[in-house]
Amino acid sequence: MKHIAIKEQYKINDLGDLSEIKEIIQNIDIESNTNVELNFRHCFIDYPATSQIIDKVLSQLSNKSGAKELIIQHDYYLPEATILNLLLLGSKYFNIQAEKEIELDSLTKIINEKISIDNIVIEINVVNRAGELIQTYKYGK
Amino acid sequence: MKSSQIKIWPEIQGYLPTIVPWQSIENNESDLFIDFSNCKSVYSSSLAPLLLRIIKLIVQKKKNRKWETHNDIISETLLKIIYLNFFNILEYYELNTSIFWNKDFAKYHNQKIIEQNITYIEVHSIPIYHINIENYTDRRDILKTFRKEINTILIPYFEDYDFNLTQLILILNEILKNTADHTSTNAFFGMDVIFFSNQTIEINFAIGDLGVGINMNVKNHLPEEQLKRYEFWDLTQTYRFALSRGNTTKPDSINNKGMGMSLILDGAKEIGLELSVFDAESRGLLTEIESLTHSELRKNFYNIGRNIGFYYHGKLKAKKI
Repeated sequence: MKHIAIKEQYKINDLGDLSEIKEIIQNIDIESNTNVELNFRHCFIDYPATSQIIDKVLSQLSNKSGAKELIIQHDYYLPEATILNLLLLGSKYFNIQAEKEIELDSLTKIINEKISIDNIVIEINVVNRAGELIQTYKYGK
Repeated sequence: MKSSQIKIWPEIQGYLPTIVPWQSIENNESDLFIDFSNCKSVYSSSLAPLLLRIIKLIVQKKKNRKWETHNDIISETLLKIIYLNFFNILEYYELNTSIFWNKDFAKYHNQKIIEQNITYIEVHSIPIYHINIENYTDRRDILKTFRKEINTILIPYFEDYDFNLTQLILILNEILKNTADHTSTNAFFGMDVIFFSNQTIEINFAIGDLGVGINMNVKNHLPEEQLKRYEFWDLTQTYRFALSRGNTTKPDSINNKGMGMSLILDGAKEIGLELSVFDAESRGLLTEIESLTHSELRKNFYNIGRNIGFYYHGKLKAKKI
């Protein structure tokens, strides 16, 4: 498992700004791993910037063979649809335009269809300050 | 002509400044005299709405007002009002009006505060942040700078107290995003961290702008089929529109995808942030709203009886870790 803790590793906590995340996108490398944990705890997330980090990891995973997994951790207590929109609006990997908020049903359909093709499962975990798991959302197989 | 006098007392706390009765002075051309001499305490999150109302009154009404304060009594409250940027911000707006105030007086005491390193221990009040939207070319820069400022201010408290800092910043960012998208007017942000005991703090904030507010903005952008029913769109109807997911009056915006208000509402409820919106003639208790029905909105919006500008007021309690 490749752990990528954005705030600790890159000393960046504003993932809502395109200029701030350039360095992350240039340097993020999952190496030979097929299981990746992307930790956004204590980071500000917003579209369309945050989706570019996820895109980079997903495109690297999609080039590997076999089953792959991406776990995204964050500390926002928000409805599933809101979090997915914040994370994925503007995603090139999912071909989601950053034009308008998308309803939950449509979003999950887009996610499931795309990651099934690439044999990837995605888990989005909401974690509290103590690091305890509060909520999990799963996509893919 | 005799000046209109407004006596601000006994304190500038909570949303009291909202109910200052301005009507008597709104329609006359006399000088405005604001007297803080009997004011015993002041909070940044309350002074910001007061400042917003004064600027709206003086600048937007385009009246020639003199603005004065009691400068013969140098109270601790007045020193704090200076420290909170009140006079500096008024000075900015003086460029467009004939507001008068005693600059030398304020500058002298500002310097005194810096030299004596005066701090306010029981309440940590942040100087009012003047968000100069009209001077930014890229509005995303405003949001980035604002997020950075709030993060820097709150990090020391976050280290010792249990609250969801990133979600609070997300909510404030979303509020300012709406301002940046829907108006070209400037915004104001005031914040206090109040120490109730060794174990509990309460973060109070107010963020507002000089725009027309949500109620009027929604009414100004009603879809064509709704225009026929314009006269029936009361405040609860406009807030139902604004708070529902996917609705926006700015569909071509880079930043605003119509989830702003629902994100603010859901986000505040989830972290225990008590959030009110002051708009038109009403206060709405946003986080008390359980469903977006007409009756539920009517229950949580009440009429204050006078036009109060537009701002959010928030309270978030946090316990020591």
